[in-house]
This record gives sequence, structure tokens and C-alpha cells, in this order.
Amino acid sequence: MAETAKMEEVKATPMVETEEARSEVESTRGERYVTPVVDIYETDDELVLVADVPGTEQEGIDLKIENRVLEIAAHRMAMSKDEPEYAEFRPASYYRAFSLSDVIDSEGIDASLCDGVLTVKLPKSPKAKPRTIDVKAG
Amino acid sequence: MDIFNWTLDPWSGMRQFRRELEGAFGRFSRAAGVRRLTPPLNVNQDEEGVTITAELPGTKDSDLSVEVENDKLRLKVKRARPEDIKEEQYHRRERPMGEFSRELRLPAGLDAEKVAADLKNGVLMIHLPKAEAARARKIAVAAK
Repeated sequence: MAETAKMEEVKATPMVETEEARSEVESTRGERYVTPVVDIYETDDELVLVADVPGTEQEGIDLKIENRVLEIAAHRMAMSKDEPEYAEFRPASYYRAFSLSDVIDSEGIDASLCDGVLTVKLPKSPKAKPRTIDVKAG
Repeated sequence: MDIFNWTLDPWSGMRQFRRELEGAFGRFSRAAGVRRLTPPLNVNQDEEGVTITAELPGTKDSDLSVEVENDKLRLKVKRARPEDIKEEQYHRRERPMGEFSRELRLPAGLDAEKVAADLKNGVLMIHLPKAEAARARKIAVAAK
């Protein structure tokens, strides 16, 4: 979508926290985008990404994977045209991109939206899952 | 807590509150990657009444309470992460969590009995219609 968008690593190993301000991404569509806040956690089988995208509906979500980059765009529905009397926030649409390491099996990605929260499940490829190794007595 | 000071401009008190709020935590500051729950509010006003909007993603009716008492509106929100995921499983934790309570003093002329709230796609809208007496009425002028 835009060259100014930041790409982040989603790896199976712990990541270093980076300080980021909510950034505004320029868009060719003329919409205003902000970076949604996310939680990312890992289980034995998958990486799960949870993003706050209030004011969006299923039809407004665009999820795309290309060259191991996961792009998440969530377009806000019907924004009210009226200017608020008093505003502490400006409703915007959401965009964020992540680069995925090959720990993730990009075929099996699953996404769902509920109450303005997008949950994306990224399964780990079989070789990346923890396996117990039997130790033979020798 | 009397947050707002209603003068001729009912929302001037809110701007003062907002300045204090931003000074205290800054809307975009993050301490150690974990954010506090402080949902921002927008207020719209038209001939019908006042609408207060808050973005509360992932919030269900049961996590939320909206109360109107006399001229005060009280909003309480609770948000928690799933309990079955342990802290060390997280690579990132940016979504604000916790409990939040905020009180607004409402301007005069609203019908508090008719307060209505709806929650859709994580956006809460609280509607407070103007009391009948406060609405501008068209006065028919009879031709003589």
C-alpha cells in the first residue's frame, strides 16, 4: 500500500519490543489510516495476532500474504460526516504489515473478526513445532 | 469528581480535562509496551440531542456499564486478556487492558430518562436526547 508502512518481523523466537508511535500511513485511496495496536502470542502450534480495529466489519477487512509479508487492512464503515463538538479521537481505518519467518505455514492462516477485534491465527509449519525426542539408553 | 466546569461553553471543561489527561499519560505514549485502558470520547451534538462515542474493541455488554444520575453520566469498562495465555507467551502486548471509569457532567436540557446506548463493532454510542422543553420549536405564524 505505501512505502512509508513499517514492516515488522513475526518470528517464533522472542522479539525485541520496539517503541512506535501510532503512525499515519499515506494512502492512495484518500482514507486516513492508523496503525492498530496488536497483541502477538505463541502457542505450541501457532502464532496468534490480535488487533484492535473498532468500527470495522468483515466486508471491510483485507488480508493479504505475498512474499511472506502479511498485510492487514481494515476499512472503517460509514463514517459520520458531522464534525464532533468535542473530539478526543479521530476515527480512521487501519493498516499494518508484518514479515513472516518461515516458521509460519502461510497456507493455513485463519482470520476472524468480532466486536472490532481481528484475530489472525498463523499455524507453525510442522518442523517448527516442539517435538519431544526419545533418548535411547546406550 | 467534578471534572467539568460548565460555563457558557459546556465543553470548555472537557478541553481542560483533555489537556490534563494528555499531560498525564499522553495518548500515544507506551510504557514498556503495555498500554493503560483510557478510551477517548467524542461528543456530537445536534437538534435532537447529544451523542457520546467511545471506541471499545472487544467489549461485550457485560463488561460495560453506563449510568446516568441527575446530571452525571458514568461510564465503566472492563477489559482483560484471555486467561489461558501466559505472559511469557507474548511477543507483543500493545492492546490496552484493565478497568476504566469516567464521569461526565452533562449539560442542562437533556432528557436523562431517555438515555440509550448501543455497542456495535466495538464502538459504543450513547444517545441523550434533548428534553422536550429545550428543543427549538417552530412557531406557526398565523396570517391575519
